[in-house]
Amino acid sequence: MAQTINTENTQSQMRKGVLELCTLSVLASGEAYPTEIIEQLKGSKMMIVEGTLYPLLTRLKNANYLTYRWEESTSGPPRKYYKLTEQGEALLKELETTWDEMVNAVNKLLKGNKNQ
Amino acid sequence: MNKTLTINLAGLVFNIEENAYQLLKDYLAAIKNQFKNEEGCDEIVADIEARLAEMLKAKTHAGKQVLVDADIHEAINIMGKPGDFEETASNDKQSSSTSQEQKNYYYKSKTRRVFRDGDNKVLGGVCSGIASYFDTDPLWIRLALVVLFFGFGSGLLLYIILWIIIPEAKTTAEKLEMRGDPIDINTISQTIKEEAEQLKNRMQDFGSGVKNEFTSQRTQSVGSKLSNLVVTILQGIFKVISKVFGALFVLFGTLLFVALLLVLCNVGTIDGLSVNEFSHTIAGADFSMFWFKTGLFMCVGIPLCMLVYKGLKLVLGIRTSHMWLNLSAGILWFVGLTICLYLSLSVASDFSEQTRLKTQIDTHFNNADTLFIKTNNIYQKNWGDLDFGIDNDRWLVNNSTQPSVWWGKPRVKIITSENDSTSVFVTKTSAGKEKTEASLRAKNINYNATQQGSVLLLDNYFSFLNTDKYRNQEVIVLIKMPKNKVVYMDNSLKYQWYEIENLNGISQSEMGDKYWKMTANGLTCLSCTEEDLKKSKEDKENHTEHIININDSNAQVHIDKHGIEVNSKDAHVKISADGIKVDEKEK
Repeated sequence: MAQTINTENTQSQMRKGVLELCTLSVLASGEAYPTEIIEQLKGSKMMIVEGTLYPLLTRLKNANYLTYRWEESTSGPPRKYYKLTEQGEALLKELETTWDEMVNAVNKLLKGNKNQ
Repeated sequence: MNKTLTINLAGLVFNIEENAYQLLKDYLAAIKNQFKNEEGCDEIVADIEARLAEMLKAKTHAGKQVLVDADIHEAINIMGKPGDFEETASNDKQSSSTSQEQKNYYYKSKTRRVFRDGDNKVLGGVCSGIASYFDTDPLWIRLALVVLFFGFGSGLLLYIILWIIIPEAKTTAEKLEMRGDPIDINTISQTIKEEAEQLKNRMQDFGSGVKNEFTSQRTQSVGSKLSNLVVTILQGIFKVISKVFGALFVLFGTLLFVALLLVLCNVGTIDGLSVNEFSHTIAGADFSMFWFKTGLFMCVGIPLCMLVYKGLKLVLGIRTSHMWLNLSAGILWFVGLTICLYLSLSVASDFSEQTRLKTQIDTHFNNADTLFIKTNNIYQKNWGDLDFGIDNDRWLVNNSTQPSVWWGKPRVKIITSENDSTSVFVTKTSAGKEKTEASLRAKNINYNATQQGSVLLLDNYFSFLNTDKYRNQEVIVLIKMPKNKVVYMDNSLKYQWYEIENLNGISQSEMGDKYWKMTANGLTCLSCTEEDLKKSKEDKENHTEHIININDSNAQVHIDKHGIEVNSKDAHVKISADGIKVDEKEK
């Protein structure tokens, strides 16, 4: 199948790959509800729309990586505060290791090629 | 002033304008559709609804009570359209996990649809879109289209039509759909399996519904399930039929369109004449061929284009309709029709007036001699002459000279003379816009009839120049013969005898090569064989007519409540509630 690679698609693929890691790492620093997670992601220049996060959180929760509790809100409906489960923490560690290895490898390659 | 509605979104009450409500409803429906195949769909939708409610609640704080379009748009932009959601699914990432997990965890892959590929385009991305639909290199599709372009530009037309009807893949979801599961044997069997599964589930639901009918009153739901099932089946059948019709539309539309182009390019013919020849001879050189062709193209070509367009839409299952396209096609068609009508009427008006020029030929025939009617072969059909008309070589147009010459066959009529001498008249007829024009044309017709002893020599063709154009030109030779004079009709004029009365009932074309004697009521045959007469009688019997002679003294007509009854010496005809009854009486 002939498929041309295009920049936008590649960038989108990269973002997709790390979104789970980012979300888990935001939650590693403590409980948060989706809007807070979004804010933090956006603060770190992860460009996503909010709608992306809700299915992701539900999937992670259904896979037992996350758990949540309800909290009443003054400004709207009750909010779901998510936090990592033990499994989630384990997954995060695993993904972080993979990430570090990958970043090192990629950087090495990129720099290596530039220095040549 | 706008109507507002009260809605409950995630447990909060909002006042919302009707338009804004529709917008929100559509958006939520789209979200639901996006996640419908995912485990936890309800939860995801509920979360999104809650977040929307939170955002909208913030809007109503500022002393404003009613939500408007802008508020909903803003919230949707923050949340993102379903197509903008980054899909965290990518098939190679967790290839080790079981397929069941995959199904739960990832979006169900979508079937492929045709889109224009805006990221890979040369012009409109049509070729690259089709290429990714068929899993080929866009280069091949482009090449095919270029080749088609040299086929009377149909490639260009096809490209434009496709450009218009195929939507561009704009959102991520559409781009994914563009590259979605290819339509091959595997996916088709997969789809069929899934459909069968769904059908099975529905049947089970239906079955349990029937069982429940006896225990509880659930007829309503059973009925609706049954009708849903029927509707689904009908929709499937309709889909297949519409695709078949679409394909036929495309096929015939394209074929007819190519035929039209061929005719307009002078390749095809109308009654043996190419369009240019036809218009040149019939309409004349001053007739605007360019406008006629333009008009014809618009008048016939546009409906064909629309046929192809609708067909492609049916085949590809594209539902988007282009109001402006339909409208402009309609307008162009009407313009084309007007042009065609105007041009045709301007030609037709040239036929409005008819003039006859009657001249007597100087002849002195001896009443005792037999009159021989023969033809003078002044013209023979040339190879390359245009030939048309119902009779063989009724009209010939010789294009080898400039201007070209029309050759037409005259018609010959023989009647009884009022006096006892033979006289010959030639009547030239033509039509025109005005009487003067028509009579000028009639005058321009060349035709000769001469006497040579007892022979009347008639030119086999009359002629006129194409500068006069074809305007119903006609030549009739009228021969008045006294009673008892004998005439021999040569068979070279077989198809040109014109309404000649004969007492033997022999058909016009059979009157040649025979001797006839003039009587007060027409010609009577002198040299007809028994066979000729028998044949004419047979012909007559084949078309027996019941002529009821009302003029005869015994004829009676009754009209009353029973019907109509006619009685004469020939026949008895009764029309009543029982039908029509005809009895022939022996003469």
